[in-house]
Amino acid sequence: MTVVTASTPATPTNAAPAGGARLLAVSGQVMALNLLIAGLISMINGGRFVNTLVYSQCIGLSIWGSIQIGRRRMPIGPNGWPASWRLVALVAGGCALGYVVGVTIADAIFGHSSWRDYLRQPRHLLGDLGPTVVFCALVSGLYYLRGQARADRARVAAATHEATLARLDLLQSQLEPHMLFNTLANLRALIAADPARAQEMLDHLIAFLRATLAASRQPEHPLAAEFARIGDYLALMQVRMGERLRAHVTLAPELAALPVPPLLLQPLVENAIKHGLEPQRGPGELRVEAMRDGETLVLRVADSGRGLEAAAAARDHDPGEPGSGFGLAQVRERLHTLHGDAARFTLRPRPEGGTLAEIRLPLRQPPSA
Amino acid sequence: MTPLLAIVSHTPTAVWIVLAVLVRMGLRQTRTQTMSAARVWIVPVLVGAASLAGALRGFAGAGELLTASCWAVGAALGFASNRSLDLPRRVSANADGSFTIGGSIAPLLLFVGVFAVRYVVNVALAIQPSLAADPGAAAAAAIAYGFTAGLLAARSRKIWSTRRARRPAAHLSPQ
Repeated sequence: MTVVTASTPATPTNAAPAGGARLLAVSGQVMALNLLIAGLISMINGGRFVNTLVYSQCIGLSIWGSIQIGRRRMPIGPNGWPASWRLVALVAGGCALGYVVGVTIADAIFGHSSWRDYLRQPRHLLGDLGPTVVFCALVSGLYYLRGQARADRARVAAATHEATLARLDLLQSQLEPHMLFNTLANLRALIAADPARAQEMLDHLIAFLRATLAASRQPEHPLAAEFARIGDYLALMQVRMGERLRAHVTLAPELAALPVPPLLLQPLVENAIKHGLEPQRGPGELRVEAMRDGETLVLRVADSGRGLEAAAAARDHDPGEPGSGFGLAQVRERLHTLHGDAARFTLRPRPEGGTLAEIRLPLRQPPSA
Repeated sequence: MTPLLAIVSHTPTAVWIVLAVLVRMGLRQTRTQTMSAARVWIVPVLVGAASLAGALRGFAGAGELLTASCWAVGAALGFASNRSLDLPRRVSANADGSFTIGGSIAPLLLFVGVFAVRYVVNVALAIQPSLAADPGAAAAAAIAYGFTAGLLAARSRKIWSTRRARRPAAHLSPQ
């Protein structure tokens, strides 16, 4: 007697941490499925259950093995399976080959020849192969779906990991220890000399720290909040640089409620001070402004500092000088993630000296509108 | 032994119509579609009730306790197996309470699987009525029935759980 069934799993090889243990676990699953299928088939066939079970296990495991070996020779995707016609060919070929091998092995165990029977009664082959094909397709489908689920999980895990790293980078770039310690040192001096101003400075620091921490959690905040945080930062810098920093922050009231990614401008303002104004001897001017240009929101950070060329030259001269690469790359990346190619960031020298950083992004109404 | 092919050729046409309807339903779901909140639960509840009733009625002689507990074991296995299958892969809740489900071959496989199990069990019972009292046959059928029902229920539960995760239509942020 013959007939029977088949199963066909497969472990995505790309996501198999412990190959041997996984293979063992999956072959266990295959055997359990073969057992269940044998139980169903033997109901129709009658005869001894043991015979059906042996045929079922031989055919199922042979199909599984054929598909496993076949997958190693094919280009496979992240789900561990080949694509389109290759997938169909793999399952169909594995099913056919596994059936021949499995029936031959089981025949050898029972000292019987199913093939002679099939030659006399070709209809029996069809009747036996039919359920094999159906169950092979079902079980292969299950393992295909599992491979897809695993690939999805791996992708989500990678994306989460990247997002966490990016958030840490962002936090680190904003909570620069250098800036913090300078501010604290200034505060210490101010406490005795001018307690009222020290208190005011402390308020700015608190607001700035709170905004920085919150920024790593929320996707966006109103432009007014963005400008208020820049105001805090500039107030802290003002204490340090005194008359050398003249800052003008202008925000038209009709733009105040527009949502922007939090602290998007922060690295630009920081760069303008660190690379443009601070290294320069005389007083400098910093302008931060938002304006509307048709359906585009334009954010500008302009300084009258030493300019891009001088900063680049200083970096060449002294490789120890911090580069601005990370901050700018981060701004570009955030804009690209949010708006794709619709947003633009440019950094260019101003004709009158200094540097102009400009962000252009599509205008969106505030969420309440 | 009855060759399966003879059975297939003697199957009433109505059964093939049911299969055709199931395949059509499955094929439709290989494309992205919207599903109402009610339909999310109707399918697993109907399939679950029909499969449990089918197992209990078909194997009345094998003892209700055995059949029901094997069905429960199968359902638990099916439900648990969605932990690694993670069906459906792409699903999101809509504001009107419906769900958008990405196209997948999973529903087609599930429907064909449900049909295959029912078909085999019913044919077996028709040609060998004595099986109704066979505990082994009852166990195999009940586990297979339960498995499909459990898997369908786990799928619906995952669809349903996206209601909580629904956020206002905000864009993604890099943070």
